[in-house]
Amino acid sequence: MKNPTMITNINFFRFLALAFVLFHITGCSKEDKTQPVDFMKFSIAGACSGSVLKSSAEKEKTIVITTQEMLSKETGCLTSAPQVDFNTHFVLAGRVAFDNCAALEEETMVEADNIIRYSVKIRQSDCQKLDTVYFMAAVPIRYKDRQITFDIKK
Amino acid sequence: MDQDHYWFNGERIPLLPNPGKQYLLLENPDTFSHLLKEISPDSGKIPELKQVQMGLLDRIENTDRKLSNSTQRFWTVLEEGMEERLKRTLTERNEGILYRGPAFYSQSGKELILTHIFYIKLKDLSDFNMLLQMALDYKVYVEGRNAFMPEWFVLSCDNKSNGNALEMANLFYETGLFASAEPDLMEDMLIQCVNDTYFPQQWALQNTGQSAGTAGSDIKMCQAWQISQGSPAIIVAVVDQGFELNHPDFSNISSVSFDSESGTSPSQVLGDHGTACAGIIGAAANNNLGVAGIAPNVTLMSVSNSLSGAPNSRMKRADAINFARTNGAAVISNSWGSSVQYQVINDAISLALSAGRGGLGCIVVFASGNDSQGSISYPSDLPGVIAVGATDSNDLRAYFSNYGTGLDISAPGVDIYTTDRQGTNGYNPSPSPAGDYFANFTGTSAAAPHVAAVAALVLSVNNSLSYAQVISILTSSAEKVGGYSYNADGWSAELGYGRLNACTALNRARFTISGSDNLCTSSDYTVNGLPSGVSAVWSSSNPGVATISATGNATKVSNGQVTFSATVNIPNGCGTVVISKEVKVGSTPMLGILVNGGYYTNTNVNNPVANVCAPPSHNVIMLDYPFPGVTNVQAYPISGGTYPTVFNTAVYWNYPNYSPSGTIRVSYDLPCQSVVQYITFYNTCSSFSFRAHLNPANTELTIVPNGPTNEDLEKELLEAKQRFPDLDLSQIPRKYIAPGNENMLVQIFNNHGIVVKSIEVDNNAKVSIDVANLPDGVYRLHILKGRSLDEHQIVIKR
Repeated sequence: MKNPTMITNINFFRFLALAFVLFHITGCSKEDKTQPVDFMKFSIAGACSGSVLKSSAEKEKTIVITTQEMLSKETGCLTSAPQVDFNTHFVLAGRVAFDNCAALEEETMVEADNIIRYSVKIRQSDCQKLDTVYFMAAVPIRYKDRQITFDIKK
Repeated sequence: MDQDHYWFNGERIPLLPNPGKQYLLLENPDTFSHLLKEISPDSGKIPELKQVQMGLLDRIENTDRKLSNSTQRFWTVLEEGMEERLKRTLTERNEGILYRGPAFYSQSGKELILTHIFYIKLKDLSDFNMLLQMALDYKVYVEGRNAFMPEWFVLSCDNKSNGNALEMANLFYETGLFASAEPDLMEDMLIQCVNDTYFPQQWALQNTGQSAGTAGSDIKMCQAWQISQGSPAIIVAVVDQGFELNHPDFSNISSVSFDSESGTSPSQVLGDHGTACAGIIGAAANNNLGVAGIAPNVTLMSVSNSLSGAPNSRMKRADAINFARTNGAAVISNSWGSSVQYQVINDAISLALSAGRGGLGCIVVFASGNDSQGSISYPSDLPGVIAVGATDSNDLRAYFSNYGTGLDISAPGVDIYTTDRQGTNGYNPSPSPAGDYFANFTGTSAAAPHVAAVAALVLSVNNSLSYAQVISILTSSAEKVGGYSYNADGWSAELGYGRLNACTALNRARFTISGSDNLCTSSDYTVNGLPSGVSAVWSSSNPGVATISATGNATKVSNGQVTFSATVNIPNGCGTVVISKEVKVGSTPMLGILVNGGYYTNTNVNNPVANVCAPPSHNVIMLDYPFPGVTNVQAYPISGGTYPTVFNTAVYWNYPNYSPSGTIRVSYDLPCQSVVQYITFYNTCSSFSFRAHLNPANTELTIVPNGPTNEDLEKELLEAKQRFPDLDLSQIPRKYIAPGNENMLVQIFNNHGIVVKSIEVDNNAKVSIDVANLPDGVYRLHILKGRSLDEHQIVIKR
């Protein structure tokens, strides 16, 4: 005859294991909160004279553009100036200066914990051209109140 | 007189006036510079001054009707857009201006500029005197006769002529005395240098102040192109990210290329950088398209590397350099650096310098780096590599350009207009054709190709130069600009030896000095390759050895060595070129004697004598001639030894030990004299010892050296005289120098130890001693020589 107490103990351990698995399947980890942002990236080769991006003495400069006037000041002079509807989007932009060759390799944008993270990956090489990498993206207006983080990987 | 037409083939060809331009002929470039200084042309277009070259003409020597006394004439064209004040000044003043010519338009609208020249064709060669007479009457000048078509003559006008070249041509033609008379109407003027679309923005090549810079802060490319635009035989390898082989502005691409990443051919385009670098060096020029490269006619070789972090990256860069070297690259342009040093890269560069170009060495150029720091980056800091910094359009060090120890030279490196990957690719995202070019290539990356390209032009002019000579030419011709402190060697921390000057470098490369390497009494030296009307001024580094006149006539003062330098001032911003030649003056017989492997006594003896001894059987004697330029060495033995072996500058002679002495006759030619020398060797293998005889002695004791004696030598020479009847015995040295050199003290002691005889005799001589007064008995004989003692027992018995 089987020992009923032993059977009870076994069921208890099965329950614990099942609960542990379910917790990990359905539980709320940090990664689970990360959501991709549906953004539009623009390829720009520079910025206008007198713009915030171009005039900054810093090697690295990032800005948030919320009006057409601001965008025009930055890129209006360019032959391929980005077109943005500020009723539906706002713009994140930046510039990084290098003493050597550098090129924009990858751009991603995610939201997590009410923070928009705009990640830019720049590839450098050993050639001796002064390079400045510009990046710019239009973000849906619903993210306007989020905190913005620029993550520039060189 | 009419100025609305000219005559061609019997037809009256109409001309329309063009008041916007004017041709000027000037006597002296200094006048022009003076005027420029006066009006301080800090804006607007500056006219370029060019020297008049008449080509192949048979000069007419029997007339003094030549244009002015000056052999140097320069021309320029004043045109619209020039700074008004400059134009007005040149127009109003006549200082140094020999002639003014109007401009016209042809019926088709082509712009034509009338020069000071017109052409006459005789109806018959016998009409030459009539031409001379007319030239005299109208105050025009017969420059010369065409070398290929003797009926054609070139005539010229100046301010004193009865009209300009058009008026004179018409007047001559309308006399009906000549078959043809045509004015020289320039079209497609060289004054614009080249017609490439963006050339006016290429401030680095011709700076007119167009980029907020200083006019003249450029590498003097227009002037340099008159000397060379490069030779297709010169290959420039661009070790970079690869360039677009099908770019419309590249017309001179090597069929050989290489991708060092995959290790295969052809090269790949692994980034935008390579196309920009290649355009600076070799974009096609004067093709009505894009930009002009510095050396448009050299051959460009693309050798690609990603120049980014990847496994095995440094070995692959070494591969790239080695590929360039082994595939005929004369110049290797590298606009990259590395923060870490690698022996494989060092070795590849080292091989390029030592084994490239058949041993003359590749010219290896590297950018100095963009870190704004006072040390240049690797590999530009390696010996033999040309480290290039960047200047801006005001001839100042670009703020980013690394500087300091090891920096060789600087070149333009800010906002350089060059080729770009076609269309929306590359740095310029515009579509073609504008997108095929990029206006703002900035960095020492842009500076290095300027130097690489000029190095290629230098080799195009003279491909026998070693890499070190090319470096010397580039650095010695660089301009000391920027107001920096240049040391006595002409070097500054900011720009190295200065900013590149292509024109001076090419002149430096093409000028050569002809004249003897050896100055015996007097000789003429000349500079080859001088432009017409330009002369050299000579100087001597040591007038105590040799003097040289300003025109190159050198005279020996004493034996020695001297450097003659020729200084050449070249107009049009090409600067001053100094070239030198080392010359040996007179010649001094120099003889080196090696006995059994070691140098014997001094090396400058006229009648040498040497002592030799090398066991076991023979001495190896080598005579060499350190004085350079020895030729025609001959030798034979006078006595002793076998026949010597004669090489170019050395004589080997085996001299047997058993022979007490020997003499060899050697003759050779020096640059300024022929020399005959006799060298006598004495065998000293017997060392210091004598024999005494007769022993027992009676009345006389004779002491004889065991080695050779002077009498032995005399005997041998007399025998030699029988074999060589022409032998002059008085020339042969015959003083035997025995070891120690001292005279000998000969003493005889009796059996009580008392000296009974003591005489001093010449070194090593055979000597007889009178012992008649000594009683019979046993004695000790001491022969003392320095600290050596040869002791014998002798017996006197009667």
